[in-house]
Amino acid sequence: MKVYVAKRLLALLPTVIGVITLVFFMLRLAPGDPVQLLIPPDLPRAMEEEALEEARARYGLDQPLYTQYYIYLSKMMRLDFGRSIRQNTLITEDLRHRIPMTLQLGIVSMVLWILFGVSVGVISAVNRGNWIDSTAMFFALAGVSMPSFWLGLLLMLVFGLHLGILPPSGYGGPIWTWEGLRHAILPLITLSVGAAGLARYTRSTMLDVINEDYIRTARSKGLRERIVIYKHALRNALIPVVTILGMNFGYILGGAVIVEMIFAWPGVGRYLLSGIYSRDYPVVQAGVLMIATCFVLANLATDLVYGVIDPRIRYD
Amino acid sequence: MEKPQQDGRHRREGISLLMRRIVTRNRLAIPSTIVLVAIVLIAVFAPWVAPYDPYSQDIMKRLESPSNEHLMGNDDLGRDVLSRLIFGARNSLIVGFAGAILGTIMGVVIGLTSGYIGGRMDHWLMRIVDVMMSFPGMLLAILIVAVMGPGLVNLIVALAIWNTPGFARIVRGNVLSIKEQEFVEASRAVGSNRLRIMYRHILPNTVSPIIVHTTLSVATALLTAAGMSFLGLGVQPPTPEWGAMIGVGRHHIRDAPHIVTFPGLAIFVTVLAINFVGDALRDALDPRLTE
Repeated sequence: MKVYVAKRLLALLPTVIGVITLVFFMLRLAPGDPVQLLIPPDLPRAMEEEALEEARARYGLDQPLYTQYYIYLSKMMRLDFGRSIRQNTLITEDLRHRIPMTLQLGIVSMVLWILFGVSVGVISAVNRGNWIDSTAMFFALAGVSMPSFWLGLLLMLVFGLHLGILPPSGYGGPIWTWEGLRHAILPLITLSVGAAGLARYTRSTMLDVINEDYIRTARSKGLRERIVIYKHALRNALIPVVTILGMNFGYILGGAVIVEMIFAWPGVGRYLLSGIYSRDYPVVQAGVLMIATCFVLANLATDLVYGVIDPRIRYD
Repeated sequence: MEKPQQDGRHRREGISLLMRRIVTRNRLAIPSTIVLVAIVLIAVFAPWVAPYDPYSQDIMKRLESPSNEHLMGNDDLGRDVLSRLIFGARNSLIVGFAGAILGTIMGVVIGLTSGYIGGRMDHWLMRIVDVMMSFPGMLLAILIVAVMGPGLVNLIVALAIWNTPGFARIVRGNVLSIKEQEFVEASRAVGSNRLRIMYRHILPNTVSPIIVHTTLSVATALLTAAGMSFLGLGVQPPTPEWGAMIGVGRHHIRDAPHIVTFPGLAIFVTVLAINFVGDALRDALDPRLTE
């Protein structure tokens, strides 16, 4: 198992380096001189030349491209993201406070996704064709079609502003404290609407499995329907479901950018956006890399869970 | 002269069978198509349908609630929300459709090349696709717009690039199974070149998953585009666009919730209709469901 995890981590390296490289070249491809992006845009003209020279030297932009790439790569590998142009804070330090915020939302809503997505999918599949199935699937399709930012605003309007029973935005402390939880409820609901997609997927894999021969065998040997469904069918239906959980976590992380913005949640997504708005490129670079790395790690975790559910998979 | 006629008849029969399957399996497919066509028509004929100029401001009517005169009220600059919604349909739909379709085309080209030619080409193309897929959700689109700057065209490009890797994988998977079949070998035996085999023989056989996936990705592209414009990274004000309208209305949500409600509803209904049609197409085209 340990060897397997180590191997998988090593295999991630090329992907992570690929992501880092892509971000590097994209920022170099930005129209105009990249150095312009590294100094505050509202500087007086007289100071501009000097600041440009200084920034060029500081970021090594006077070096040839391959040297720049090498310096950049070795910095990224040491998690040295430099300083924010706007705030002049150490980005690594900023991220250290913000990553747990995003992960709190991400992990809890992942749990909600699994709870609601999988159970609704199974209930629907078991009741195939009757009103329970069609109602559930109608709502699931509605959930998939819902613009989450709009839903977030409506929730904020109704529960935060009109009824006043939940705080409309902000961070109230860690999610396991009462005040923290109250602040997290609306962002969590907004992020969890996407579970509708998981429900649709679970239903279709469940239906595929129910038509298999071994389910007919299980039924014909007189097993109770509950056991057939939960022990024989669900366990097999979950295998493809688990493989897409990592991707779903990515969807949640991507959605977190919008949700954090709406609810003023101080996570990585909001940090990234503030970097984009103020054209603070080191911040954008660090934010993108962080979220992408979380996603890649989540996919690894999925692969490991996969083995627990499917004993046919061996770790060697 | 007889053969082409027969072909034509077969095709017509095929289409009518398909239509019958769509209608019997998904009762909501027809109403959804009607809704969708209506939205497209409204977008096309916006100048004739909209009651007011979407840009004309009337500061006296700032944030006014819906009334008989302005059915959906007025926004923060006193512009008619309904008219902006109608003109906004143009931009929202163009971005969604163009992003998804361009992504489809690029994905198909990459997937076909990768799957059919194989070897090193396949290896490297798929590594690039892997890297592109390591950006979760809309992050890649956000990054592209952050680099290129916001705007309608850049948003379409961003959505297209974001859509490409998924298509490339699907098409490649299909190509890998099709290229081993006899008719491909036959074509190779009679001396067809690679391009002809790829585009005349293999591509037509991957059309149904491509159609289904394109339809569903129009829906996600529309949602993502609206989200990006909402964040201020897409269509820029004062151009009317549904997501951007919500983004501006957000600041007045307490006093004038109608500015946010109606564009959101428009996005929701449009995407829901596209998804219903996509589902119906999938059910009809999926060979596993054919009885």
